[in-house]
Amino acid sequence: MLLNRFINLFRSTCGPLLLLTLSLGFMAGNSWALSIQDSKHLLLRAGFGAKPSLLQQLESLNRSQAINHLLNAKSQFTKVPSCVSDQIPTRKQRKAYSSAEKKAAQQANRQCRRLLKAWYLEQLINSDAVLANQMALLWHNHFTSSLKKVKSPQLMYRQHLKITEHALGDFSRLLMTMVKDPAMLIYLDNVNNTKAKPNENLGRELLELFSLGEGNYREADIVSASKALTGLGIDPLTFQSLVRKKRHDSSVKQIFGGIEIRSVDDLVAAILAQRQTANYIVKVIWLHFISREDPAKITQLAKSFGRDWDIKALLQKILNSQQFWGDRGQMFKSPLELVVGSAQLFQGLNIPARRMLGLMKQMGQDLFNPPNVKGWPKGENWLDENKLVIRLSLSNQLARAINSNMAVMGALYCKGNNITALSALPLPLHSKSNSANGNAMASSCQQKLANIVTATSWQLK
Amino acid sequence: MQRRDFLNLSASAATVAIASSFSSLSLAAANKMPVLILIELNGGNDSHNTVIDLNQLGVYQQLRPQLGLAEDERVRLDKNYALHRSLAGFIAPWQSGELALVHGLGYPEANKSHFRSIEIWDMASAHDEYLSAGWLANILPKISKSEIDALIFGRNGSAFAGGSTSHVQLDNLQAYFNKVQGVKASQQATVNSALKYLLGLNQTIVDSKTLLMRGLAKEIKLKTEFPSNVFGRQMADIAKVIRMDLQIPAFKIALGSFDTHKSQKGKHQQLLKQLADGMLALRAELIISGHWPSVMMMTYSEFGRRAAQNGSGGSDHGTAASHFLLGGRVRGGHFGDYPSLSELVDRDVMYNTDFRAVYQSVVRQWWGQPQFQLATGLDELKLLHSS
Repeated sequence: MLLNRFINLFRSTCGPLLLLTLSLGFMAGNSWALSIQDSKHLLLRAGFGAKPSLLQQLESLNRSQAINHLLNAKSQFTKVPSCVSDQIPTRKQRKAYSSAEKKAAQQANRQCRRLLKAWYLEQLINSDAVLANQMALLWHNHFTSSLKKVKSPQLMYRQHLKITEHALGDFSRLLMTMVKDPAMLIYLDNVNNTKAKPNENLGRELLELFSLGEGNYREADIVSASKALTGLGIDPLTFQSLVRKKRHDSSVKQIFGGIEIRSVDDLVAAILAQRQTANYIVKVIWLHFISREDPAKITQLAKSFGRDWDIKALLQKILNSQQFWGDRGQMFKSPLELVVGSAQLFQGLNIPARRMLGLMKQMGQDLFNPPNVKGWPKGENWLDENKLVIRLSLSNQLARAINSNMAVMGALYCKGNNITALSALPLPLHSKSNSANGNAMASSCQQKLANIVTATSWQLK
Repeated sequence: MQRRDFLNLSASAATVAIASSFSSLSLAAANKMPVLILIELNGGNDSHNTVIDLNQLGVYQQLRPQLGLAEDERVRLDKNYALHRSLAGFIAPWQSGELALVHGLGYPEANKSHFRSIEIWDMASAHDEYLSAGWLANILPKISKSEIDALIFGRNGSAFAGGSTSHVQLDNLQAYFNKVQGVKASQQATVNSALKYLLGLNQTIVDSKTLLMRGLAKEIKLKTEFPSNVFGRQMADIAKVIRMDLQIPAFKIALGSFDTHKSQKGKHQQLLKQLADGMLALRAELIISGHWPSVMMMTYSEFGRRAAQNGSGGSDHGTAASHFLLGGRVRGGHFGDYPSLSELVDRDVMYNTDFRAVYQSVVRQWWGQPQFQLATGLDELKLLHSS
């Protein structure tokens, strides 16, 4: 803490050039305390932006300590709305509904979906375990399922709990859990995949999107995978997954040029035994945090990941890499990152959850409802003219709120250089006000904040 | 082969009558921009249940005992073919020779991933070729006489992206126009590619604002009732923009999801109905306005579906499919051969017309670009009536 104060003092008295020389000298070991620019970068990518409480927590840490701090933060979720954890009515019960009961149940279901989304959004905004949340969202988008198809908010919530449990854990367990997850079995039609009448939807996406990646399997592998998955369905009373022996094709099937499999467990083991699986998953995670691929580094990371499937250890390496720290302001914020980040920064805004969810949907991200099995868009695919216009109107609303009410912003940002922690990139010259100093007038700080949220670079991280 | 030639002949005989009724309009059409409307059937349309080859009805019924269309679920197109009942409205343009059916459309080594296969169609690449620009990404600026070369309604603008074509993606014309009012031009030099991308989008928005301001000032009132679903409303927007005469050469619209693995019949019937109603409303409107001879619609989809039904009342990803071209100067009739349902390869029908041949023929003939080439050795399909 003392050291950090000294450094801050040092920074403010010495010229930036000297600071640059110094940080270059110490960067290699990631052992020098974080600059405000470093904290910002880490929080923009590993979280949702420079949340004031997190900026403070990282203040005295160096890069690798800060990464560990974020990796070890525990999510503490508030109680879920009761409709989400309620028992699910069985088909038999549903069939016995009168038409009025049926209508009421449908209405309750719609209401419950909204409550689930609003609850999750609130957790994301309030929780300091931002990296665990980023990873949970990554897996939501990798092992996609949607409320629209699954229809049951209860099953989607149960899936969410499993994702949260394994988000930073063991990928091999996560994969096995997701293949057998009831919401997944409905989403990709495996409940209809039987020995007599195979349905290839889950078998195909399991190889194409969840494990090996497109082009790394043959059509015959899909046929075998789908056969191994026959009979894997859901118990109509408990809504747990189970294999129905009568519907399961237990014959020996060949996959990946000669591996013999019978069951679902065999199939997952065979997939994990393919070196390509680790490669593909490492690439997915790498590209979530870094804008450019680095095939050599990815192959290297995949070697150890393929041995222990330790997601946390992998993340630690990715976030400590030079590639991560050198890649600033080159990625696009997702709608969720934009909305959650804004809500975290300007807590006084008090935007109702319903409105935030609506905005996100307009920008292309409906929580728990990815558009298709490949998930939400990535990178520049988040943006087209239409979507940018919606994002810009959100920016204008933020700016108006900032201008009309000084209380909306943490005083933190109007002190010293902290205001620069809000924008991924320096603003273009014409929109910059006078250089920041500790005595800046409140109104000019407001103006700067408004400039930051309306600048094009507000869309970047 | 003989059968097809005969059909083409009879279709063109019917056209003579229609063409003469257009003659008064063709003068007006002469200086109108030829417009192409791409219609993406997102998710992989089940073309075996869209166009039925009556000569293969026996095998069809064996492959699809439940999913197959019964006699009352189809309408007769001609001696050899029937359409899904939802497409009954296509009979009129078929009889007047404005509707072409291209059969067996696909490519060698079909990829059955939604995402990879639509990329192949959008880039017009070979199955193992990875291109960064869409098939219309560089040709449109040569044809366009507008600030904006293409309007994309809804999802997926990949066919236009990655080159010099300026295109705008939107959901609703008026809502888009209202929203862009506040967007200002932003000059900023940068080497950051993400920021550059955003600034480029920003500039296109500003350009589209100027353009639409000019168009909306004409206060076009549609004379046709369009369906009230999203597809219908977007078709109405397209009709409106065409009538504004802004010289925009291309539009795209998407409908879906056609990914009917489960309980297909009801869903497919609805989607095809939306498709036909939207396309026919646009045709009706533009016949009245005199634009119809300079408009062509073309459907496409990432793949067709498996010949046999699956166990869930649906169909799995397949390969080749039949598609539609509809327009005032389209040479109606059949192109390509309907794939054999009894000679399947890995349970799928074999393609026989490369989709790139259709794309290439469209650009060459519709926009008069004889040099345009997507690959060597592609057949030329004669898609238009000689004017």
